[in-house]
Amino acid sequence: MRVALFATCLADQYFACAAADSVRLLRRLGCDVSFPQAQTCCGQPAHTSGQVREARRMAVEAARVLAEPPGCDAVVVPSGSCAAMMKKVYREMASEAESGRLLDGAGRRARRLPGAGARVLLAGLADKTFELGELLGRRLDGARLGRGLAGRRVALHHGCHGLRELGLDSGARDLLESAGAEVVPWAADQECCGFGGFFSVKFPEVSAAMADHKLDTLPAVDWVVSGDPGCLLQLEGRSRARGSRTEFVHLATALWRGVAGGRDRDRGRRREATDVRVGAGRPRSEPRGRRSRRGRGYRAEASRILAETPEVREAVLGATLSFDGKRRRAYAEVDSNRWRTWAEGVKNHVLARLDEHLTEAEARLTAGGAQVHWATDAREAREIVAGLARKTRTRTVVKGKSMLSEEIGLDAALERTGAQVFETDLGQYVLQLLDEAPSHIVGPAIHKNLDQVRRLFAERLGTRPDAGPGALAGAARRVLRAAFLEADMGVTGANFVVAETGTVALIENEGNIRLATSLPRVHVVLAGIEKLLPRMSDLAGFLQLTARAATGQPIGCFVTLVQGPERRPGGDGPEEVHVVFVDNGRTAVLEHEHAWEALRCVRCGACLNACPVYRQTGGHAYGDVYSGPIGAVLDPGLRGLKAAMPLPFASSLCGACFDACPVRIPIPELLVRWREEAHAAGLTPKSERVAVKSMAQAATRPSLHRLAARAVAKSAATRAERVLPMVREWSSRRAALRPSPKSFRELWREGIE
Amino acid sequence: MTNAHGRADGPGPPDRRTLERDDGATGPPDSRDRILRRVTKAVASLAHADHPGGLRTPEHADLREAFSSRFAASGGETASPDPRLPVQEWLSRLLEELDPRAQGTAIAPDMPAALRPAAPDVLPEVAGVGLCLARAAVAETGSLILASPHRAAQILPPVLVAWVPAGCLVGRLEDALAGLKDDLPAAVGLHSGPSKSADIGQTVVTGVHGPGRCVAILE
Repeated sequence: MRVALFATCLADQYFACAAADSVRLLRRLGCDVSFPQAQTCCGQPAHTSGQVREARRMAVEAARVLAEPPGCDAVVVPSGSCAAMMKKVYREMASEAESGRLLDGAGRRARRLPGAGARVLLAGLADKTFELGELLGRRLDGARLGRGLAGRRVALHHGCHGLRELGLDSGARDLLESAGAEVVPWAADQECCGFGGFFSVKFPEVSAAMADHKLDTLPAVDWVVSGDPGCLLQLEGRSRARGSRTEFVHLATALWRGVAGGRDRDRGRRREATDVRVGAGRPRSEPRGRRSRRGRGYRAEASRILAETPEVREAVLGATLSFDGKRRRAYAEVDSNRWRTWAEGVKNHVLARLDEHLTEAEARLTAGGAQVHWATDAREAREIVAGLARKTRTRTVVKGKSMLSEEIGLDAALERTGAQVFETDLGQYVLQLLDEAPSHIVGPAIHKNLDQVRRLFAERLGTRPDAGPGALAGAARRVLRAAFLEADMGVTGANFVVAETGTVALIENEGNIRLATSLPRVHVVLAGIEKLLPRMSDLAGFLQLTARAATGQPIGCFVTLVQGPERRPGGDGPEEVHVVFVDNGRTAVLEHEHAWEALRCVRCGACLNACPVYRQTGGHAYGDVYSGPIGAVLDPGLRGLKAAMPLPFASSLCGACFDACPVRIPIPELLVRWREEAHAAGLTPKSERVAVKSMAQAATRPSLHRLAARAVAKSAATRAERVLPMVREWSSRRAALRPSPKSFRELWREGIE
Repeated sequence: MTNAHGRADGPGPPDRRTLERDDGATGPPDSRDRILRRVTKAVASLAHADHPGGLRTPEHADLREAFSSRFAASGGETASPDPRLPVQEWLSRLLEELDPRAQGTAIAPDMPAALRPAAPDVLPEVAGVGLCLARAAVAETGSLILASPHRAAQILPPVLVAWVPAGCLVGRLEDALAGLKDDLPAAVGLHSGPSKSADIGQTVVTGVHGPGRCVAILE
C-alpha cells in the first residue's frame, strides 16, 4: 500500500517522534510512505474558530498538496482532530453548492483550479484520509505488530473528534490490546480533555479544570495513550503543572515501543525528545486578566466560581455525571437513535408549519374553554399574567418550575400586584429562599450541596441543623401544602402543546404541578410558541424520550394533560385556564438560516449534563437563563449575538451534547456558525482574527509556514511569553510548551530509520 | 424571586397598549397577528418536512407482568383482589394496612358502589389514603391514567390506591392516548410511581408533594 503522511502542524513541532513512529509502523506493515513536503495545516483551527474563509483556503491548499503523490492509496493522519477535519468538514465543503463560495478566499495557486476541480480534490482527499489507528486497525492488520507491550498498563484517552465524528471508539484499544498492553478502565476516558484549540487559551481556567477532572479520575498506569497530539499537550501540560510525572504517549509511539523494545527508547530520547515536550516548571497560579473587555463576563465569572466556590464544581460535577449516566442507560434500553431521528422529524414538521399549528392549537384550546393570549416580548407576557392576577383578585400564587417564567422575570411582576408567590418545585423553592436564579434546566439547585440547604432551612424553616434530605423536604412540603390549599392561581410552563387536541402537557416528578393545576381556581400556562406537537399520538414518544433524556426515567412520575377549565359536576380543578403564547425572540431564531434548529429543544437539560465545560462551573457563569451548550446556541438568537458574547466560544466542540440531544440539534455546528457571525460582525478580539488570518497566509506558503511554526514553537519555550498572549494564557495554567528538538520535517530530511 | 440575570427590558410603567378585550383575553390586540405574520414569513424559507408517522415502540406480550415490573421499578406497588374474599372486605383490609395512623380514606365520589369499602370516607386534605378509579393502565411506561374530575383524592393524601378495571390494561402509551383522544376531559393525570425529588443534595426523597406510596390494583 502506498500512503502519504499528513504529519499535522502540532505533530511536526511538538510530536516529531509520533510522526516518525507513524512512518516506522507503516513501513513495518509493508507500506511505501511518502511525505509531501509542501504540506502545512489542515485548517481546523480556523474552522473551529469560525473563520470559514481562512479554513476553506487552507483546506483547498492541503487538498492540492496531497493530490500530488501520484497513485497514493491513502493519506494517513496521526491526529483524530485533523483526520475528522479532512474527512468530514472537507466533504461538507466539497458539497457546498456554489463553487464560487468554495474558492472565495482560496490561495493563489488554488484559484487557478476551476471550482469543480477544487470540489473533486476535497472530496477525493476526504475519501482516502485515515486516522492512523483506523488505518492500522482496519486496513493493515495491526495485529502483526507483535506483543511487545505485554505487561504494560496504559490508560487510553479518546480524542473527541476521532470518537464522535469518525466513530473510532474501539480501534486504538484493540491495537494496544493486541500488542499485549493492559488497557485499564478509566471512567473519564471518553470525556473531553479541555484542549479545544483556541478554547484552551481563551478560557484557560475552565480548560484546566476539565483536564483536572480527567487527571483526578486517572487510574495508576505506566502511560496515558492518545491518538491526538492536542489532547496530549493539554493533559501532559496540566499534569506536569500539578507536579505529576505521568508519561503521556502518542498511540504511534506506544505501538512502536512495543515493536522496537528498549533500544528505540534511548535513540528516541536523544534525537526526538519523546518525553520532554513540556517543561517541568510550575505555572503562575494567578490567572491573568484579559486586556479585551469582550469575553470578560463568562471568563471572569467562570474563573471566580472555580477559584472561590470549589463546592459548586463538586456539586455540579456529581449531579451532572449522575444525570448523564442515567441518560445513557435509559437510551441504551430503547432504540434511541431511531427515537431521536423520529423526534427530530416531528419537530421539523411542526416548525415548518408553525403558523398553522399555532392557530389550530388556539382554536382547540378556545373550544375547550381556555383563553389564549399572545405576548411578543417579556414585558407583554409579564403584563398579561399580572393583569390576570389583578383581575382574579389573586392573593397567593403557586408556581411550577418554568424556564419561560425565569426568562420573562415573572415572579417580581406578580409580587408587585400584591400577591404572594411560592415556587413549589423543591429545588426552585430553595433558590427562592436564597434569591438565586436556577443554574440548570431540570435540577435548578444542583449547584447547592446538602449542607447549604441544611443551613438555609434551619434558619428559615426551623429544621434541626443535622436534618437529612427527607426531613428537609418534609419541612418544605408543610409550608408549600398550606400555600397550595389557599392559592388562587397556579402558574406553570408547558412541556408540549398538542395542536390537534389543544392539550397542554406537563412533566414532573414531585406532584407540585398536578397540585398547582388542580387546586387553585385559575391556571395560567406560559408556553413558548415553539412548544407545539401536531398530534396526540406524538405525545407518547415525546413524553418517554424527554424523560429518558432528562433524568433517565421511562416517563416522569406525573404527567398532567390540561384541555381547559374543569366543568364536570363536583370536579376539582380551575374555573379559568389561560394559555399565554410567548415569542420573546423566538421568531428571530426561526428566521435565522441555521439557528432555527435550536427551536426543536425540549428543555431536557441532557446537553448540560453531557457537557464537560458546563460541568466545571454550572449554569451561573453563562449569565443567562439558558446555560450550557443549548444556551450558547439559543441566547445569541433570543437576545442578539452581541449581548450573548462570548458564549458561542465557551465550548471545546467535543460533540457530547449532540450525542445526548433527544431532538438531534447540531449544537457544535451551530456554535461554529455563531462564531462565524461573531467574526464577521467584529465581535471577537482583533488579535484572534489576525492570528488565524496569519495562519492562513502562512499555510499557503510552505516555507513561510515552516519558519513561522518553528518560531512560535521555539518562543514558547523562552521568555517570549511576554509578547505572545496566547502562549502566556497557555502557561498560566499549564507547564510551558517545549517543542521537539528537531521538527518532523528535519527528521524526514535526515532519514527515518 | 427576581431573576438575577434579568433581561434587558426591565420592569417599566404599565404599557398603554395593554387593553382588555371583549373576548376576555388581554395583551395588545395586534400581538397575535404580529407574531403569526412573522412566523409565516420565517417558515416560508424552511423546507417542508413530512410528519414521520408513529414511533412504533415495541409491543408487550404479558401486559400484567410488564406493567407490574415497570411500575415497581419506579417505586409503585401492584396488588390483585383475593378471590377468596368479597371485594369490599379485601379492599377495606388493604386500606387499613396502608393507613397505619387511621386517618381515613378519601374515596373519589365516582367509585362504583361495589368498590366502596366500609372505611370512613374523609376529606382528601386530611385523609391517610386516597382511593380512585383509573381509566386505564399502561404497561410500556408503568402508568396509571387518571381521568376522573375528582383530582383531590388522587393527589392530596400521602398514599394513593387506584383501581384498574379488568380489560383496561394497555400495552403502549400511544394506544392509551389514542383511546382518550375522542373523549378528553378537562385534565388527565398519568401517575407512574410515587412523588419523588433529588433536589436536595442529590438524594432521592419520596412523597415530596404528591403521594409517597402508590398502589395499583389490577382487577
